[in-house]
Amino acid sequence: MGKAKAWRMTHNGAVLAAFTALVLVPWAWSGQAMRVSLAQTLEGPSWVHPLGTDNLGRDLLARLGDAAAGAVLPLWAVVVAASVVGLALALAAILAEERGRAAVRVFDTVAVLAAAVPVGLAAFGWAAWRERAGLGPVMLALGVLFAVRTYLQVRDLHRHDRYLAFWTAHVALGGGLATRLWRYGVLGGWREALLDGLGFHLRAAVAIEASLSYLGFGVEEPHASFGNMLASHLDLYLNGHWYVLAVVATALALAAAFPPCLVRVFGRGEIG
Amino acid sequence: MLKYFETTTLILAWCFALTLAWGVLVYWRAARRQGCPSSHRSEREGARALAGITVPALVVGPVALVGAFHLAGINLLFPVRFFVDFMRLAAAAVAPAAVLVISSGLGGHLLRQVAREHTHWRGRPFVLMAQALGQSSNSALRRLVLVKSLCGAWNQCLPWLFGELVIVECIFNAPGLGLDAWHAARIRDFGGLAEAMIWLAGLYLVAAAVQAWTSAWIWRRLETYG
Repeated sequence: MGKAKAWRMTHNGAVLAAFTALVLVPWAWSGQAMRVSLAQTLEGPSWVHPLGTDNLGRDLLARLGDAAAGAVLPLWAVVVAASVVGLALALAAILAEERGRAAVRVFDTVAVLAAAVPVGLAAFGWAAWRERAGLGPVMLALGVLFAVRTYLQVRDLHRHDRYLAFWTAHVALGGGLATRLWRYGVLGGWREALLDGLGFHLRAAVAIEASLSYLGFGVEEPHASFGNMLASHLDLYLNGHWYVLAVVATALALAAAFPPCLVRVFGRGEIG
Repeated sequence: MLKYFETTTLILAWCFALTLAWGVLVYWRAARRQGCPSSHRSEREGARALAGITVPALVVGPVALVGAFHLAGINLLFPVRFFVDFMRLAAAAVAPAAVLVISSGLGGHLLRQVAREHTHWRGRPFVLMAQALGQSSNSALRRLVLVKSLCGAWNQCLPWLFGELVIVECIFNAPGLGLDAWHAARIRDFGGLAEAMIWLAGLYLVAAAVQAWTSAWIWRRLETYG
């Protein structure tokens, strides 16, 4: 086994195992994430608090687990659902276009315009306009934008592949468009591109949710999010107490690295 | 609003300058390795490894801020605008721009694009012709690969760059349009928020138009290449 392969195997395995463990923390440490203890603020790692405590004496590991399971997982569920909706809409649009429906072009134009909007700015603008913190506005903005992006990705893939020799041969043999789209597209040549796109969307969702929570427009205290944990410790790490920053930033980087690893290992079967 | 616009434009200008410098560096590396039999493989692996560092600005920003201050004694926070001249402001915009380049994925994309474009074009007739005339293949390739890679990378990353701009300006306390939008949103000044967002959208449209125009120009030029 080459060095690069061994490194990738270790990297993928470590990221997957560490984030899965983090997500499982709330079940093991239930209730610890919200338990304030002002006598135990900013303690270092110990047997009772494996990663130490934050500025209100809450268990840091429990807070990170709460952020991963309570903020990141629901957001990922929405992104996956939005991608499935985008895929279904794109397949329906391709089938409708085949039957000569002109409305598809209008829909395409709207989708192109929507996809050109920077996702982070749109989510921030939406959350600020709604004047409501929490995951709801973030989920809605990201869900719509990622559904549109998946829709356009599938439309592009179809435009690229529809004149390939085996696609045209299937047409000549009397095969249906729906069969081609499913067998040659979704389960065939598009699978990797779609999985890569999904991995990227999941990673972007983590970054955007954390950013919005940092700005005060996402998940708010006392609920945990990587962003609001960083924001509430800002003065501490500017004054040299960087331990919480290191732990939270590592957990956030882990959450951002998890989706691409998942796609590589389970989507493409690249163990190493 | 103009002063906010100036800071944001400075940061974006530095982003462009940094990607250009990074592109030249990556091109130089790709060109040096072209004679090596395993060059293609190592470029691909290098690109994959580095693409993995496209971590959120919320990780890179605070770590850079704290690391620079506590390890090197450098304060990366923006100075108060009233007390400093333009050169200090321009220098202060480098760190946010570097964080943006990393976190928006521009750096990783550029690495991949340069390797891919270099491999794609180096066997083309115009390069072989240049070599036959005793010129270096790099003289024929350099401008094409660099401009095309830069365009491709900016095309991919522009929305993410603008998305991360707000958070980067907040982290570094850079008085730009993103920070202004955030302040307006916090005090529920919807007029101010709308104004900042419209300026940001305008800036984004200009950047996207320049990128689209450059891409179209390149494609017109490429039609004349062999």
